[in-house]
Amino acid sequence: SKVTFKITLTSDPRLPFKLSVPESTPFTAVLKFAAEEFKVPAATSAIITNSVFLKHGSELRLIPRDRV
Amino acid sequence: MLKDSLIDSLVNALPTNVHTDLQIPPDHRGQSDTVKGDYKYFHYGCDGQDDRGWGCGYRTVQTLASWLFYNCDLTKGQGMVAPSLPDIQRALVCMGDKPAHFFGSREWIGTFEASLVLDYFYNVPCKIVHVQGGGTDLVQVVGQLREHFERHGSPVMMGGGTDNSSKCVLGVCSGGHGAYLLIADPHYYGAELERTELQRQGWVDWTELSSLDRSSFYNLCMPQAGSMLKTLK
Repeated sequence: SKVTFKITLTSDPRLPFKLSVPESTPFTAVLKFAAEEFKVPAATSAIITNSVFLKHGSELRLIPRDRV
Repeated sequence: MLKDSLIDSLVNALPTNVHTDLQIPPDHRGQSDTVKGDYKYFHYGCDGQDDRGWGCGYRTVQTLASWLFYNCDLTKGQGMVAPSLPDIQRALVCMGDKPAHFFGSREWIGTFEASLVLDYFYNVPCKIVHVQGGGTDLVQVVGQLREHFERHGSPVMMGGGTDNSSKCVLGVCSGGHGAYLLIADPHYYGAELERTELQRQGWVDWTELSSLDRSSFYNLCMPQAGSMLKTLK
């Protein structure tokens, strides 16, 4: 079965898009799909959600990674 | 046990709960909220690996991991006080977040990697909070930290976009001129010091929120372990 997320770019929240992936998709793969859609590098991006677990209908935000 | 995993005797020698008895800022108002439960203070070189210049994020992850180890009923990682730096790198490659050449490198990590690693080794989810730079949004963090220490109690990892110094946040309080964060700095390198000496030298200290880089965005990694705390028997 598939799960669907609404993803926005934190730096430009006007342009959300919906991503549907198989339920078993690893978190790191969801990030790669989202980064590809927004044409930002996955290596320097992260996805966060208001809830702790990714679940169907979650709203995700693409944010820049910190490097320390 | 992999030969590059942490050596028990070195970990046992690390200072514990380094924030204890640190004097609160003189202009503080109201209560302070701090970490609850035991943790080990990890810092540059503390396990025999010289990671000066690149390991500060990893060291903060280790401090957070040690808190999970001591305070939680874990379903995974019960035997590991903290992953070593090679363990952390290996895990990130294994998860597909980093390419193979990341293992053995001196590449920095941040709060997002921390959340992946703590979930990987301990099955503990983390919440990442993003504070955009350029404004007064940092103040939002105060309320979120208060709630975190009240509900979950663990240390928090904080990293910035242009502020590349990893911070282990152990507490928050309000003062006359703004809020303070209680921070253990993982950049200390040298022989293990007593808690009082670490505090005297400023490696654990209250830092004014207003002194942080306002142009930098900040991310915070907050382990959500409140429901996993060990019950007193």
